[in-house]
Amino acid sequence: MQASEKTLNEIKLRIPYVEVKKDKLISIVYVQKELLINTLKTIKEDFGFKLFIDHSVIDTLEAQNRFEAFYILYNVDTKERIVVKTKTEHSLPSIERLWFAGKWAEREAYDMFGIHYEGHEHLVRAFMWDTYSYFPLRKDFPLQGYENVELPSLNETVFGDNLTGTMNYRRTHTYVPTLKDLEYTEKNRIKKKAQVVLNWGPLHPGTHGTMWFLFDLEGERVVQTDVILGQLHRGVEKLAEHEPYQQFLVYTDRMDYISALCSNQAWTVAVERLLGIEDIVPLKAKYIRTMMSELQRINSHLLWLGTYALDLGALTIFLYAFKEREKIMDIIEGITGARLTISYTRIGGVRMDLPEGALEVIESFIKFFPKELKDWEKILSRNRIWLKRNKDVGVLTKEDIFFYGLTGAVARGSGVFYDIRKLEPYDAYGMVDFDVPLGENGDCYDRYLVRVEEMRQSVRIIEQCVQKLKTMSKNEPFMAESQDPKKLRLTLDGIGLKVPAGEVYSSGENPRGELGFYINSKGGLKPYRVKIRPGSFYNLCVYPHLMENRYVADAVTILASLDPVVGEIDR
Amino acid sequence: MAYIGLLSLLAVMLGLSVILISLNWLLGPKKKEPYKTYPYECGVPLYDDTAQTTFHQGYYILGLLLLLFDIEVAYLFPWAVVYNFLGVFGFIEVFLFLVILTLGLVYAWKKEALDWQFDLESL
Amino acid sequence: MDIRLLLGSTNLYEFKYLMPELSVFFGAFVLFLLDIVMKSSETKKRIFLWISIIFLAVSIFSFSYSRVYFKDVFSGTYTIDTLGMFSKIFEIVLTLLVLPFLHTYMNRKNTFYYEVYYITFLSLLGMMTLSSSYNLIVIYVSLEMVSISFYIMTALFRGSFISKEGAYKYLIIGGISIIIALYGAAFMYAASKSLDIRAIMSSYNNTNAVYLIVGMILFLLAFAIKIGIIPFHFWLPDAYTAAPTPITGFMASAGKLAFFIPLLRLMPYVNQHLYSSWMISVSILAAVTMIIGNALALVQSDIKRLLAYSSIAHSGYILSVLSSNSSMGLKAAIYFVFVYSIMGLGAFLVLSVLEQSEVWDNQIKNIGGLYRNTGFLSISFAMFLFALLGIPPTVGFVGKALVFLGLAIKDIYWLGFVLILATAISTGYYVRLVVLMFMKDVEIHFRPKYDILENVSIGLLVMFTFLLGMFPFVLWNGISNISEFLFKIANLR
Repeated sequence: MQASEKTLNEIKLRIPYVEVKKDKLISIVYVQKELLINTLKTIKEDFGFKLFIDHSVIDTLEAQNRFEAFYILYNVDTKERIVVKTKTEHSLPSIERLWFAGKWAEREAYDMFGIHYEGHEHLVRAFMWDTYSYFPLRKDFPLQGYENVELPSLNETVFGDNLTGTMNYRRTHTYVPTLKDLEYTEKNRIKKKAQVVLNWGPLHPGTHGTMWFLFDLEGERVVQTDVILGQLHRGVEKLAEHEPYQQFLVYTDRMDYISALCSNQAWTVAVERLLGIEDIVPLKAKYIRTMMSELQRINSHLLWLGTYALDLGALTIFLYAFKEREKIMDIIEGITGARLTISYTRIGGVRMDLPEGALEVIESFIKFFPKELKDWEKILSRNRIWLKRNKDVGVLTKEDIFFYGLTGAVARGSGVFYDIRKLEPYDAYGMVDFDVPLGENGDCYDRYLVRVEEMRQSVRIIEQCVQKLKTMSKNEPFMAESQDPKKLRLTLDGIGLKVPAGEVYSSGENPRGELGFYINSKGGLKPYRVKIRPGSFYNLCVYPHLMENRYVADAVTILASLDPVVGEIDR
Repeated sequence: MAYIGLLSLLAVMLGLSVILISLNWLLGPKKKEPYKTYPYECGVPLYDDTAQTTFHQGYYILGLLLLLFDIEVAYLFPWAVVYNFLGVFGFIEVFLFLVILTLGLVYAWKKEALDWQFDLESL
Repeated sequence: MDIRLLLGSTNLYEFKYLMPELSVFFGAFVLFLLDIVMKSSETKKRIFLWISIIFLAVSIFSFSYSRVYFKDVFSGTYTIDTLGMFSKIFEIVLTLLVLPFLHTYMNRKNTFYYEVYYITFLSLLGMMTLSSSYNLIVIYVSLEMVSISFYIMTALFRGSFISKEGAYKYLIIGGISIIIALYGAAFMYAASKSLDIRAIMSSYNNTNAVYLIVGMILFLLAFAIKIGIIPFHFWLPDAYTAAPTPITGFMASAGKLAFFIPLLRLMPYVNQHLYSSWMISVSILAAVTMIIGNALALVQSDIKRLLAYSSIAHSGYILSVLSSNSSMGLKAAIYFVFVYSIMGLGAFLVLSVLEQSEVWDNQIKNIGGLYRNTGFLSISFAMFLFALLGIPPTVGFVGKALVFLGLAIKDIYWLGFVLILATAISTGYYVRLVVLMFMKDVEIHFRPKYDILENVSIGLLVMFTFLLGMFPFVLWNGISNISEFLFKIANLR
């Protein structure tokens, strides 16, 4: 929930030089750039907004103080969210001391906007290579980039200059990084202190995607490590500024490609909150969305379990998990028509109703699934090897969770009750019963147990949704009907949907963490700025801290237990 | 003439190696690719030019000690075969031999060549 | 085998002739046990030094235990004769002179290793057995013993990569020399079915001539590598520069002495059939060594390396006179090898005292004006350099004159000319050092630290150099008798 009036008034009393504003969707604290750090410190320590959610910058193209920076913070005890905003021309103080996650967010803001952060320990680009000279998310950077390089393709090398018909395309491209750029980036990212620096590089089957780690090794012990991201950066946030709201849905599938339905749901809910139509979304659509989301959660956790066990050597679990995944993906394909990039939800409901027999199939699946899960737990949970590799590896304390902005199963594994489904219920989550498992020690083993238990709770939710959906008739609407079609056009294709000016931050509980969308709209068909708060990005920023003084064998364990997906990290 | 077998073996070895290598060089494709021999480190340029760095001295010393005591044991084998024939003299002689080598082991022990508990920090 | 038969055949009572060796071995053993048992401290260092000196003194005194002038003990594998006794006494005295330098040098350079003491003792033991045997197996084993101790001692310089590199080079090339020695021994054994050099060399007949000659030349080559004959000298400058300077002095003096003795023993037995091959190889090697050794020394800028090259050149001088198959040649060779060990040791020991100050880096350009900094060391260094050059009244002059005489007696005048030419070349660097020390301005200011034992050693060496130069017949008479005796025995066979 947004921070209440009471909290805002207390803040205003304590720190008189800020301005506060609250509307239905968001509570904002405006502050000057010079007093930013003190304000954030007070809000963090005295008012308990310890959890770092997000930080980024909006390019407002004003004459003075062009960039507007926002910091989103959360108070886990009182369940309040607050946004701190400031304006700057080109530089900001760094909040690295207050939250480490801010360091990574600042790298991204520097990369995309060119904001210089004073006091930042190692300000490098987050996604682009270090010799890249532009700042892509600025409004004066064109969508297609600057095409100033001639790169001949195979057609030109074969056919020469006479290209006709469909091959008559523009030959200039944007700059593609060379090996020299990569080498410069790599050398700039880490200063070698120990024996050898090893690339656990982008093309490696153990890194859960195309992430690039640099290990500074002393024998087999890691002295320091750093991550180079951006191998899968597709400029989704830039594209969002040029797409209508409904059209952007397909991008959300491709970000976290393993839990596509959950991302779809998070985006749809965000836009619905911004429009204010949460209440008119029909109940059936809410239940369908919840059920599909939970199926997708089981799907994603099965993939996580399979690849985690595979990385550590338990190959059987991989095959079992993927066998179950096939069943789920068949169900999802039958209902939505796609297995991976689904785009099933629409702003106001879902794309189509459940086909005949869907509920029976789902019921039969969830009848047999918990037994399978119990069998697998017999293999893993009390296994000596599994315990030795996972117990007391990658321990995170509660303070670490807040300091590094960790969410999702990682936070719950350390005992912090942070589940968006319970704290800020959306869709049908407020109407179903489920428990949230919490870990004790915060090591990899606890995270594993938390996720396995979450699968069981998902089964519980699906059961309740199926029961409820069985009682609804076939003719119930699955898409919201707008009261005033002239003011608000809600259609299945979303063309012409105008969103009023405003801003909202809304998040959904992805299997990976909290996927949040900060939408800043100035009215119109397309948003002005969309900042995607990926769960995996901030979950990954604790990795260098966890890997210090550990052996290389733990690198795989810790990375798999954090469960990153590169599409979401790089966007 | 007694060594004709050895000479023919030598000739066959040399001839075979020369023929195989030269045939490979003659008939093989020659395409010079710039990064053909570049070591693969997950598809990105190397940070460290070489993976050959220093290693802990203990490995070398242990290998050396192994070699020495292994050869000592090898010397004991022929003695064991003719032990009956040698009698007391053989016993005393090998005893002295083993005493000298045991003194070497005691030396290595006292000079901490056998200590393998290093602190993680000192590595 | 019956134990009585064995005890009867081992001649245990003959060990009394080996008292010096036994006391040295016992000393090594005691030092080894002390090293294991005691914790390292200042007192331990002093105890080690004094125990070593005591054992060496005991060893010298035990020479009087067996008064015998020529005897083959242990059924011919070991020989007690005056050449052996002389060289053993010399080796022990040289070790005694080196020991205090070891102590202070290692302390100053912070590279104290207790192992140096007992390894020195064991190398001394090897040198003593090397100097008193005609048996190929005993020579081989003693050669290994001395060489391995030298490899170890070369590397005992903590933290210095140069030291390890020099030791490594020494090890590899030393290994090659051992292999060649074995190969030569195999040929010699095949030729004569005997392992005793005297029997081998006397068993010349038409059928085994080839094997015998090849074996003899290979044997010569093995020792040539060890003493640093060009073109086998490549390890020598690096090993000598790399080793701690007192060790270098020890290697250059006692080591060279010990490595020469088998060649000196071999020489009287080269009869007229083998003489041509012997003479050609030895003289050519010696000529090349003399010229090139001195020429290489001329271009050096590091004093220690310069002294190493001068030691190569001196091996050339000694080897040259071995090509003359006369008693006079042998006398000259023995005399010069003993005398060179004194001079060579002195030069290296002075250098080791100078090296103990941090500002001294062994470069020639920094030696200017040494006289102003330290009178005693510069005068003794000048003394040793003049002796190495061969200027009267130092003992080096006597040695060179005798070598020339030995060459002239057998009409090998060309080698004599080469000797004179080489000495003329060597003048360039020796005199330059002396001139720089005394007449130039002071380059670096420092005060070498004085240690009483070191000064006594250097003083003794200077005294020997001078006195033996003034009164050469002190040494000459004994050596003359030795050489005559050896030739008589050889010709009896």
